[in-house]
Amino acid sequence: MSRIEEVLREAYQEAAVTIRPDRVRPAVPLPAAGRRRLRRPALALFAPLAAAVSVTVAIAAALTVPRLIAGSTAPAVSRASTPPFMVVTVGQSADPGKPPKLEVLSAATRRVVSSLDAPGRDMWTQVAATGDDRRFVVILAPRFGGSGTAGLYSFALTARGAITGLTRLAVLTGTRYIGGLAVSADGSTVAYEAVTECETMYCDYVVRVIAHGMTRQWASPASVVPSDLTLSGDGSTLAFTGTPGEGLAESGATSAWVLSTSSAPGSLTAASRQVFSISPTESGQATTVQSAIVSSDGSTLYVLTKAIWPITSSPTAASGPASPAPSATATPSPSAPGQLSLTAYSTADDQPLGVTATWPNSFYAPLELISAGDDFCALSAFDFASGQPAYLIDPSTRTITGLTLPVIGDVDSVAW
Amino acid sequence: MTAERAQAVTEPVHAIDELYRAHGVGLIRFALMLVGDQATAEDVVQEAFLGLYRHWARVQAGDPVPYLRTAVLNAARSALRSRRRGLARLHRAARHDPPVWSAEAAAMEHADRRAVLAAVAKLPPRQREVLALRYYLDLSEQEIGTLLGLARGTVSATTAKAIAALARQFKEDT
Repeated sequence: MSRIEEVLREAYQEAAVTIRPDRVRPAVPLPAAGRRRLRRPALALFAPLAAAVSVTVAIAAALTVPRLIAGSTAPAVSRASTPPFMVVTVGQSADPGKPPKLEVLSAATRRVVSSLDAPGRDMWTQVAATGDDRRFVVILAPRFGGSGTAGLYSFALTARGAITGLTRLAVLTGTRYIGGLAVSADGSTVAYEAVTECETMYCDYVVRVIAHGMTRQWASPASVVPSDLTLSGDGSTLAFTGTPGEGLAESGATSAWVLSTSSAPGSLTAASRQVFSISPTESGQATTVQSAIVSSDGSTLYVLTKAIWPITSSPTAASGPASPAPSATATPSPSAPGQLSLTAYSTADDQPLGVTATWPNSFYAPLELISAGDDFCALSAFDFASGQPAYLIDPSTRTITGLTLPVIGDVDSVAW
Repeated sequence: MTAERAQAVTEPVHAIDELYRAHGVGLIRFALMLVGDQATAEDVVQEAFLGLYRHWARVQAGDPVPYLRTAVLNAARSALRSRRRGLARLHRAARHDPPVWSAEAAAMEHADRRAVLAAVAKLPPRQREVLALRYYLDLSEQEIGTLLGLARGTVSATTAKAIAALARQFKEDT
């Protein structure tokens, strides 16, 4: 055995004993026999990694995509509630023998009605729905470890949910990974979050918007890793949430932002306006922003927050000009751990418009808000692996309906 | 088979609980070599046990330990893939600790051992997995090949490449 092999063995042994049996988290309780629902473990599995320090400014006119999706040019398309089909991208890790695929679920039965395997060594990574409930965009990218270029595609669904008309709209260059996708209801604008460089676990994040034949890019600082992208119906406003990057989680705030997609490229936080932000308490536990979604007309930002611990810190006022602190009655009130609150804010002046809904949350996975016609659906892509329910929220009536999701496996993204 | 064991076979919750008590810490340690921090390693192993529960009917007839090792490998790959793909929204549920081999973690005393594990972390995923299986779990090349779905020769070549890469790096460093 060589010296390096000896050191390697010793290193593994020394690392192993840092795991002390008396300090291992207890096993997740399994359900009683015969029940399908499984409790998802606390997901440090999806722990933060990003430190976005790049200040790269780029504006690329190489793409000419005058209108990404054929269809209505109306600025904001309002759909009837609960579109008929939900589309998910299923990743590669569930079963190495099965290729990654797009799967179409019936909203009524939540059963898979059609699917499409990813070609070659690629995988479908992110999917988003337009205002037409039969038209979607999706990103096809090399599987983890593979090489190649990602592409943006559109497709439609037939009345029975079959996938048809898959067409490549653009080649997405200069990205290593793409972690979020949004499309405007009118199909004119697409936004995505990309990792441009990664050094081990430290990555540079950018947000790009493709509209009117141009790609604009904004680079994010380490304190605001962008996620949960949504576009207003006409694509003029982009909403996103910000999560502290690597090493900043304990002290950084989680936040929700809006960006005019016609603003000059450059720094994401300089070009955007922070509508809502909340910092952890000294103990590192408080309320966090889970997700956000902008209304079709761009006037309202709905922010989903989760109480991790009894709240002792207060939401801070937005950083934009003339933005008074949210009133105590309109912001999430002190609540039990796990409680979820959906609060509406005006994107014009950051004023809270009221709490749309609150409800207890019985599981750990962070939720994402996705549009479901005129309603929202709050779910985690990982609920498809655990059988946890999703929540359908009607913001006008403030009613919440639990949805049973099928156990599909390693779902990466959901569009409805 | 004892009565208790017989009941465990028919009651997956009991059987899996028993397996967790017997193998949980060992698998968390194995996962640690792949993902770097205890919290993620615990999640990876719990994910593996949840998978075992879901597939219990298929797995219980055989030895579940190889299944769990494969599940840990898959879950660790998934965790690392999620990190790299920048799915920041998925990261909010918990804090991500620095790798156990980092100076920041202050968990390992010997600098040379920390350095070698840090170097392993920069190797391609398959090489990292082969090294952990070979030098931590002490599995044979044949066993590693079965777990990873590789030919024995491929395991041997992958191991040799990984060790050579480490040796080169440490020669350069010194």
